[in-house]
Amino acid sequence: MSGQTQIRDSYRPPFRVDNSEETILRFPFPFPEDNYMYSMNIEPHVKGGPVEAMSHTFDVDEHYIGECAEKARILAEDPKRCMVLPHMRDAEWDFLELGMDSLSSDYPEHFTLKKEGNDWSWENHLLNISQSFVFGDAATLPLAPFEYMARQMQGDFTLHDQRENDLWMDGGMVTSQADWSLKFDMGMSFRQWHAPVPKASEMGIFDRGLRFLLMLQYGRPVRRLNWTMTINPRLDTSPENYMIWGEDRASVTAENVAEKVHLRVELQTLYRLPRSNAVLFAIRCYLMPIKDIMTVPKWRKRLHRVLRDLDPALASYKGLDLFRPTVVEFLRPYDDGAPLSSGIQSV
Amino acid sequence: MGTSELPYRPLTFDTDGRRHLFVRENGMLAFPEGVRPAVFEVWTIEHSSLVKVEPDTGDVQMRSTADLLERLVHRLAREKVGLRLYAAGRPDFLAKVAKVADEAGLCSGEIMLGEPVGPERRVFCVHCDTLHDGVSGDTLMCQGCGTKLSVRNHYSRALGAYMGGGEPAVVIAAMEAVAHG
Repeated sequence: MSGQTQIRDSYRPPFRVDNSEETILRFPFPFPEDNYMYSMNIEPHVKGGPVEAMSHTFDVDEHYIGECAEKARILAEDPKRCMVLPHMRDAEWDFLELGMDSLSSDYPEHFTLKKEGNDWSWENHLLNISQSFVFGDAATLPLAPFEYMARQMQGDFTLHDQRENDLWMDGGMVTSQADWSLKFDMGMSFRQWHAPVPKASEMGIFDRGLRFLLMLQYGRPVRRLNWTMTINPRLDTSPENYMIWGEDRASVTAENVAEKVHLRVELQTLYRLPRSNAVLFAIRCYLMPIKDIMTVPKWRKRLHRVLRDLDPALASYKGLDLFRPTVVEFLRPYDDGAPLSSGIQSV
Repeated sequence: MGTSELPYRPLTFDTDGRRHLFVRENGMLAFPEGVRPAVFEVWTIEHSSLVKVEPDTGDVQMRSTADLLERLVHRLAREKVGLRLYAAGRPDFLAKVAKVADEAGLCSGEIMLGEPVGPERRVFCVHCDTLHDGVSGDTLMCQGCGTKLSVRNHYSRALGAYMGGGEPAVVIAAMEAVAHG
């Protein structure tokens, strides 16, 4: 959490995102074993875990200011990255409350929340925001409650109404996504928005995942990790802008692979919201270049093994086809084949 | 792979329904199969400005798709539980009927969509939001931003359209180079 005084990161050309050693070691490396296939890798989201990124309800790191600034730029360019259907008003306030309560108790040095009945006062010292408002009265905030709070948090958020034994994508703010579109998926059911994902449907993963999430309880959030790979530190790899970032995939060479290729990890956390009975899906994105992963021997060896043996259909779906061989070839000399400990911790 | 497409299936009368409304894009489209219910309405598009709605008949002629959809909005707003809505026609027509039904709050068991007639689909450009009606192939040029779009197998009921997305030329060239060794 050092260096949080100004915008120093650039998530678009010219790119500039530097990770401190602390940030590298707290990265949620997504591979507990030497091979990877979809699984129901859901566990309780309790504070503490194999890496530091899991030690708070919502993780704030040294890129907070830069990511919030990039989010604001994307929203200015494309307002449809934030949409909420009118019946989700209660869920918006649920979200604001969860965000403010969690941030102010997890990071009291950066966020302050004072409550006197419904008269609330919020201070975000990192973004220089100070706001008094009446909880439940949207007219007392400068933006709708969901948008107001989601702009002050790293990562993407979607709100899901629960009805007809299904979860519906009825709201969200999505600016750092791995190639899916909120404006297209709005209003979809759980199975509908997962339709483009290969194999997982046949494996029954979505049926089990949905059954599990329908029973999610208030106060007992859960988490899982998901991953893909992104060329250059781009938060915005949306379908909307694919014609702009897609050509990065054809730019990887043996010389630039360590700088350009990033492991993109989503720390996904899910919460039942108390008033609305909606489900909040928080998708926190971490981008870590190969050169930084190289500094952790266990991770670089495991990444080599996972990418080398990855199912071709999965590799294609994740858009890795044009550069996966280059990454594997680069990592191969750094993997001595020695057995690695199970789990994602760095040693 | 899963699907987000509309749940098309051959139309059959649902005996659990109390009222039945069949909307069709033209008079050549057959009624649903099965035992015809006692109370049963048919709305048929005639593509003619000469037809007038006969209020007390179960066989209603509509002037156009827009005419039928407007009346359907009005009708579904006043309906109660027990209605079964059946629709037959091209994919575009079925998409629009499904959208009206969704917005009126009909559940999945209350609307039945027949197998679509013909291949024409509605396509949404994910880059610039332009909608294209009557797309019969798997590719098209976007009328809004000029991108060559491929139609993806991902369908939004809310938009009533398939996703169309482009591919940068350098990526196409690189993929071809890989494919040809």
